[in-house]
Amino acid sequence: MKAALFVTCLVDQLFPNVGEAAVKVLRHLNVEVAFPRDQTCCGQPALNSGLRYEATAVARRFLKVFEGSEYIVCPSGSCTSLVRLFYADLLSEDPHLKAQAGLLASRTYEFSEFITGVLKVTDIGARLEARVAYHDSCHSLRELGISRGPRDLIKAVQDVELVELPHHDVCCGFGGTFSIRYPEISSAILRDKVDNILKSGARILTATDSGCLMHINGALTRSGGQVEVLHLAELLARGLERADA
Amino acid sequence: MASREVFFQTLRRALGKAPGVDLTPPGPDSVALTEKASAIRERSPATLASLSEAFVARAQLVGWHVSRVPSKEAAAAAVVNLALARGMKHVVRSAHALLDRVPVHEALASAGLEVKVVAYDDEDPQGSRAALREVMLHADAGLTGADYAIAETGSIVLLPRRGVSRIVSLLPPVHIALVETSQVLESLDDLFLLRTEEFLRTGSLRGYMSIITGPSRTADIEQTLVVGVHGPREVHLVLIEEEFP
Amino acid sequence: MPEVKTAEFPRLSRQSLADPQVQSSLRRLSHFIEAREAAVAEVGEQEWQRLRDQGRRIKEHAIAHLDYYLELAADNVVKAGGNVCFARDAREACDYVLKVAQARRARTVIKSKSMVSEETGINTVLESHGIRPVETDLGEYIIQLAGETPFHIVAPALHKSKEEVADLFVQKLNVQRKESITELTAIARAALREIFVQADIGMTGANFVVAETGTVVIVTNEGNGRMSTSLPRVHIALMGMERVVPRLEDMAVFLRLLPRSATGQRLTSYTTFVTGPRRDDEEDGPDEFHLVILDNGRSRMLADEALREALYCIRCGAWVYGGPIGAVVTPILAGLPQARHLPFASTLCGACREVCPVKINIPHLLLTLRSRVTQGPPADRHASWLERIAARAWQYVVTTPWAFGLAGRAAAILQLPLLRRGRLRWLPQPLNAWTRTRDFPRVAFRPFRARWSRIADQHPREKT
Repeated sequence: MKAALFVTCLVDQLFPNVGEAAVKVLRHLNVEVAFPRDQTCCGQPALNSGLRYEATAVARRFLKVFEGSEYIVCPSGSCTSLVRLFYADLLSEDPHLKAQAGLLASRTYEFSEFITGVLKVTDIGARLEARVAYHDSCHSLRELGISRGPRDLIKAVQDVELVELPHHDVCCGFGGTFSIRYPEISSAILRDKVDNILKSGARILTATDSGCLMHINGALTRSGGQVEVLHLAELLARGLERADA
Repeated sequence: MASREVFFQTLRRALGKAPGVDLTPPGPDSVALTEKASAIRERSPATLASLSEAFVARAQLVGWHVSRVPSKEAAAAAVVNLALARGMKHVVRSAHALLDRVPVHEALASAGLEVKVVAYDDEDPQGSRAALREVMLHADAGLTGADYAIAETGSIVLLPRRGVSRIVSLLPPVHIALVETSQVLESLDDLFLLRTEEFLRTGSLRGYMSIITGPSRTADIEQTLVVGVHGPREVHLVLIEEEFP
Repeated sequence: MPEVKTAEFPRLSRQSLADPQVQSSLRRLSHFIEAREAAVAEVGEQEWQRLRDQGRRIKEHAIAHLDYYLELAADNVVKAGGNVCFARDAREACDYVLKVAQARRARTVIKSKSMVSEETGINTVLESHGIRPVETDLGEYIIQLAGETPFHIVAPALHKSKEEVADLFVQKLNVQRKESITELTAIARAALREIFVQADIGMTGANFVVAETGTVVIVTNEGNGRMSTSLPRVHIALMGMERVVPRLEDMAVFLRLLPRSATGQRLTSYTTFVTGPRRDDEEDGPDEFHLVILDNGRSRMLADEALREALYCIRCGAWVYGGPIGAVVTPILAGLPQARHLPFASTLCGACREVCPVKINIPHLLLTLRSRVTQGPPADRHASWLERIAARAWQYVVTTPWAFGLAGRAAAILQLPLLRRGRLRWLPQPLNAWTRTRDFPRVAFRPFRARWSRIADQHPREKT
C-alpha cells in the first residue's frame, strides 16, 4: 500500500522526529511512504485567524501537491479536519475544485485513523514499559470523532499501562492564535490540564496533535514534573525499537 | 416608529421571500386532540395511583415537603398541624373549588388562625385588590389548590381566575398546595395537550399559567444555593389519595 | 452598555482571571457542569439526542418561516388584549418603552433578567428621563447597586464575594451588616419587596413566545419573573424576534432542553405563561400588556446563510453572555467592529457544540465570523494594514516551498541567542504572550524536509 505523508508545517519545522517516527511506523506496517516535497502547510493558521482568502490559496495549492496520492496520512487531527471538513467550503466557488476537494477529503486520514481504520491494525507489535496518559485533542475528538483508535493502539503496546486523565476530553487551551491573543485564559485552561497530568502519575503524555503537545509541554517543562511528551507516532516508534531490541 | 410593514419588509427580504404568507402549517388535528384529551381525563384509578407515586418521588427531589393523606378531613388536619407547628397566625387562601370541599378553612379557624380568602369586591375592585395584597404580604402562609400536577417534573400548575390569585402562592414565605390524585398528569406533553385543546375549543387561552417546581431559589452569591429569594422558601404539598368509589 | 463591555473584553478577561474571587467562583461552577451532566444522563443519551434533534427541527422551521410566525404571534397578542411594537433597532424599542412609561407617569420599573433589555440599553434611557429601573434578579441587583456593568462570563455577580456584597448592602441599603448568604438574600428580598409593590411597570424578557396562542414564556428560579408579571399595573415584555416557536406543545421540548442545559435542573422553579393582560375575571395581574419585538441586526443574521444558525440559540442559562454563543450573537448585534475581539476568544475546541441543546455548530460559526472581521464586507471589517501585509506575506511563504524552507532556516538561526537548554524561555513581542507562562520549542536545525533525502530510499520491511 502507498501513502503520501503530509507532515504539517509544525512537525516539519519544530518536531521532525514526529515525521520520522510516523514513517517508521507506517513502513513497519508495509506502507510505502511518499513525501511530496512541495508540501508546506494546510492553511489552518490562516483560517483560524479569519484569513479566508489566504487559506483558500493554500488549499488550492495543497490539492495540486497531493493530486496523485492514493492516501494522504497526517500526524495531526487538526490539520486533517481542516482538509476534510473545510476545503470543499473554501473552494466552493469553483465547482471543479470543490469536487476535487471532496475526493481529497475522502483520501485524507489522521495517522491513528489510517492505521486502525484503513490498515485495520491495532497491535503493531510494539513494546514499551511505561505509564501513558492520552490527551484527546479537540479536533481529533470532536471534528473527526477519534477516541477509541489511539487508545486501542496504545493499549496494544505490550507492557504499557494506559491511564485515563480526569477531564481527558477538555481542551488544553491552545487554540492556535488564541494562545497569543488571550494568553491569560489560555494559560488558565492549561494550568488545569497540567495539574491533571501531573496528578495522574503518567510518565508519558501522548496525543495525536503536535500543537496541543507543544502547548502542554510548554508548561510541563516549567512545572518541574518528570513527564515526557511524545506524539502517538513517536510513542509507537519507540515501542517498535524496544520490541526489536 | 417603525410600522409593522417596514419591519416585515426587512424580515422578508432577509428570508429571501416575496411579501405575503407562503405557509399554511397543518393545524393541529383537533379530532385526535380531543380524543387524547378525553383519554387523559378518563385514566383508570390504577394509572392515577402509579402516576401519584412518580409525582411524589419527583416532587420531593425538587424541594416540596409532601404529605400523603387518605381523605379531605385528613388533609385539613395536616394543614392545621403544619400551621401550628410553625406558629402561624395568618393564612391567606385562594378560592379553589377544592378548598371548598376540604374543610381546611374551618379547621384553621377553629385552631385559632386568621384565614383570609382571595376574592375581590365587584363594587370596589381596586380597593379590595390593594387590601388583599396587604394581607398576602403579611400572611405566614399561602394556601392554594392546584389545577394540575405533573409527575415528570414534580410541579404543580396554577391557572389564575376568579378566586385564584397569581400571588397567594408567591408572596407569603410558605406555600401550601392541596392536590388530588386525579389532577396528576404524566408529563409536560399532557399539560400542553390539554391547554391546546382548551384553546382550540374556546378560542382563547387564559391570561396566565404558572408551573411551580419547588421553592424559590438562587445561587447568585458565590454560587451557593439559597431558597426563598423572591418567592416562598418553604413549599408543602398535601396529596389527597381517596379511594375511588 | 453592551458596546463598552465587548470592546473592553480582552482587558476585562485579563483582569478578572487575575482576581482570586473569580477564580474560586469559576471552580464552584464545575458544580453546575456536573449537575448538567447528571440531568442529561437521567434522560438517557438516546432520548437526549432525540430531544436535541426535535428542538433543532422546530427552530429551523420557525426561523425559516419567521415572518409567518411573528405575525401570528402578534395577532394573537392583540386578540388577547395586548399591544405589540415592532422595533427595527434598540432606539425604536427604547422609544416605545419610554412612551408607555411616560404615558403612565411611571416612576419605577422593576425588571426581571432580560438579555434584550441589556442589548437595548433601556436602563440608561429610562434613567435619563427620571424613571428608575430596578433589576430584581439577585445577581443583577447586586451589580446595579454597585454601579457596575454585569460581566457575564457566567453569572452577573460572579466576581463579588459575600463579604463584598455585605459591605455593599450596608453602604447602599442602610442595613445592619450580615455575613451569611442566607441573611444577605433575605435583605435583598425585603428591599426588593418594597419596590415590587409600589412599582408602576414590570419589564421582562421572553424565553419563548408561542405563536399559536400569543403566549410569552418566562423561566426563572427566584420568582422575580412572577412578581414582575403579577404586581405592577403594566407589563412590558421584550423579545428578540428569533424567540418565537410555533405551538404550545413545542414548549414540552424546550422546557426539557433549557433548564437541563442551563443549570442541570429538570425544570426551573417557575415557568410562567403570559397571554395578554389580566382577564376581567382575574384577581390580580397587570391591566396592560405590551410585547416589544426587536430586530436590531437579527435580520442581517437571518440573511446570512452562514450565520442564520446562530438564531436557533435558546440562551441556556446566564453564562451564555460571555460564553461561546455570546461570541457569535454579540458581534452581529453590536456590529462587528465594536465586538471584533469576541469571535477570537475561543479555542474552537468544540465542547460548546456538544452541549448545545439545539446543536448549533458554534466553532464553525466563529470561524465564519473571524473571516468577516478580517475580510468581510467593509462595514464588518477591521484589520490594520500591517495585519493585511502580514497575511499576504504569510500566504507567499507557505505557497512557495523555497521561501518556506528559507523562512524556517532564518528562524532556526535567529533563535540561537535565545536558546536555553534547547528551549525558548523568552520571545519578543507579540510572542512573549506565549513565553510568559510557557516554553516554546526550538525550531529544528534539520527540518523534516531536509531529513527526508536520508530516509527516502529506505523501504518497508519485508514481511516474514
